[in-house]
Amino acid sequence: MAARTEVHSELSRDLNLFHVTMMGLGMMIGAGVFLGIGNCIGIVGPGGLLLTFALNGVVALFTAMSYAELSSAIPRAGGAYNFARIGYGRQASFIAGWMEWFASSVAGAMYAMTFSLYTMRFILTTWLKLDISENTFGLIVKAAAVAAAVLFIYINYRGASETGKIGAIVTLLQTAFMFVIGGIGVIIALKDPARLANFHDFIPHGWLKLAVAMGAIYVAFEGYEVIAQAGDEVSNPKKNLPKAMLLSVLVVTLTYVLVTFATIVAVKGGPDLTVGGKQLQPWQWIGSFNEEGFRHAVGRMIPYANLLLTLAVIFSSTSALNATIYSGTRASYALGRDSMLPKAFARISGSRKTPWFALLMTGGIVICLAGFFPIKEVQAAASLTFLVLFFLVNVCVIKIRRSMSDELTYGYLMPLFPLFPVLAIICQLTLVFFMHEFSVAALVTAGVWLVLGFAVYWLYSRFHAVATADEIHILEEEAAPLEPGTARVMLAVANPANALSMVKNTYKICRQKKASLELIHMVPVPDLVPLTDADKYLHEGKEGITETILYLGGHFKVNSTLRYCRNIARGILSALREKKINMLIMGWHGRRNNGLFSVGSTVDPLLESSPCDVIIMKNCCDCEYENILVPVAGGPNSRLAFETALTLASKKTRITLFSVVNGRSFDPSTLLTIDTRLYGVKPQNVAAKSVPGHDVKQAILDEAENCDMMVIGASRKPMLSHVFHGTLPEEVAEACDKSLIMVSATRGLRSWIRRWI
Amino acid sequence: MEASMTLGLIVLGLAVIGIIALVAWSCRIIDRLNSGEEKTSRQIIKEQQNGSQD
Repeated sequence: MAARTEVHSELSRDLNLFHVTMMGLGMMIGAGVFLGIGNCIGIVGPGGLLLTFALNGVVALFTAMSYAELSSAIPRAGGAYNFARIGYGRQASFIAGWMEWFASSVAGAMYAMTFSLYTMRFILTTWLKLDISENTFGLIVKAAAVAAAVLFIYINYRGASETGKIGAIVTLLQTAFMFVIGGIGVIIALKDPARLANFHDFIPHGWLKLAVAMGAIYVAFEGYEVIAQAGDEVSNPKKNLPKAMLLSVLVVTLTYVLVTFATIVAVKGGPDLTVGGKQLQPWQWIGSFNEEGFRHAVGRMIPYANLLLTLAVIFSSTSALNATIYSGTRASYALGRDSMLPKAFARISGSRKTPWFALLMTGGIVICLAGFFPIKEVQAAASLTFLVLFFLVNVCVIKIRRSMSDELTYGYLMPLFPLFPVLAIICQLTLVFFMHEFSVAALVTAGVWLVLGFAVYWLYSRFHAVATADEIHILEEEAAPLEPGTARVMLAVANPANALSMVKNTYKICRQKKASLELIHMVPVPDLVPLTDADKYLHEGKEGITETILYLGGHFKVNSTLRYCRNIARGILSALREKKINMLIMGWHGRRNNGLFSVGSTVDPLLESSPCDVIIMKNCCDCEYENILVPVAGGPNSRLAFETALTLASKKTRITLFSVVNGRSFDPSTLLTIDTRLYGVKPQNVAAKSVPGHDVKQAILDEAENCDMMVIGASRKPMLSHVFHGTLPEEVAEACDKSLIMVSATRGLRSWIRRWI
Repeated sequence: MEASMTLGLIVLGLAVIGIIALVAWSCRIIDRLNSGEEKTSRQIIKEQQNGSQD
């Protein structure tokens, strides 16, 4: 009998840098700028409008840098959905994908409606000069919008190659046209400098109005999102994806600023700018036409403006419509690929290589919105959902860089990290805050879609979602009920020997803190090994946990967990956050890794990113210590080191607080203010000692010869800084051949934030 | 020239120049990172620090 073979379908990689840059540009140079100029100039004035586009470009670039970094490391279809899944797990990723799907579809509906509105106005009113009622005209516009949507759904069905090439040509034409308009504006301003007076009043209603206008037209700056969706179809994605994102934001911002300048200088002030018997400034006159202000202004600058602008709107709206349908389809395809939505969403046409069912569903949303909803509310809902989505991506880029720096290979790393994503987050929150002034209906629509997303997740996705290579999975768990407020200590167990070496110290620490104990064993399974075979790797961890429970189970409430993971440090960090652990205890073999790490690939990220106190044990044993050396330098880890030494000490143990005077001095006796009796240690058994010396490391090691245990605080320097400077505590820890404990104290607000990012 | 216009033009200039500079800087980073073998961020940062030492 022949073996059954699976037919594997995948998307074709036939888009290059030019195609994807144009795809992003096509998404941006659309209806947003045509509608936005007329709608916003009345809110912010002529100068404010220039600033609105320029500053929106800055905010867009910050987010584009986040997209670029993540896409270069995770170049797969799905964009924000993938980033959220890797950064925060299934539920966050489902919501990201769900919102991404909706945002793209809503934007697609907006472009279809804009296309239809302008073309029907030109054909019926200007060309055929038909006298039809506004109601009839509205119905015709909606029918034409639906027809345009159907056309581009079909073009998308024909495949990525056709989609990219058609979109690229259309976008190139429209960008060229916009630059021509901008160029004519510059020539007019040079020939007639008096027109620069049109920029008075520069910002007539105050600077805060900038935020309202920026939020209102933010949808005109979200094209890099569609580029991220093309991850599976781009050649050399680690290079082409980030470049295309950044270049598209650069080109679109310059184009918008140039076109806005041309629009404002296009109108010559004078008595003919009178509306309702009132003489208006040029910018007021443009604003009086609302979304058609741009057309009226440019009509004063170039001949046949009506025809040319209608053609421009056709080009821009159709290319943007094409790109948004593409983006929405890829977002829902990714949800289907990971079984977050029914598998039908991941079906790829054998001949066209396109996800036809996802395309059909996306097209359905676009057609419904274009056919039944007002354009202003659709535009506002699109802006809002994109702002929420981009906020999530900016949080993800920080989280992923911090937690997966050794697992991902990057084609782009943004400079001055994390300055730009933090700035983007602040700007986006500000714009969302001001969006409520623009449209309440948009808030309701976005809210309903979000609630619907949670319902779908809880009723369907969480039962069907399949594991990806990036996730951490609980294989076995035993949980005992705990009283609220009980301190939690987690002991990370690698194998039986490692567990037994830490049992006694763990017992003392849990007793001192009156804590419950969480035992965890992370099972590192290689990428190529399927989940179903992960139990092969469980044996040692299970034995270790069983041994520990035998010793400690009678004294404390003990929970145990076995988890599968691809990276041990990330798995432990995830468990620390989930279980709200107060202290982590783990063992260390004592050999430092190569120059890339201060201690090791597992310990370094835990010391840097742990949301709780961390205790690392080396060469520890089941014995009482007579002399404990505590090297101190005055930092917060010194205090934790001393407290740990007190916790581990018996009545006869002598503790020496040791400091080497070398340049900056620290008096170790300042730590003697801690009441040692609380730990059952007599004050006379604790001594402070300072010695002068140039070689701090050697002085500590010499002093350690007289002791049987050393407790030392870890370096507080940021991860990776050791590469440049080296870290003394870790060097001492490696060189010391006695029992050793290295501690790192929680860092207050910083550790609290690290629970989330 | 009104004060808000002066300030506005300064902000506008800084925004445009800032965008151009950031994109140029980023493109250089992309070209450099994609010219050799694939690297993790830790390896890249180490190389950058070694470079600044030279």
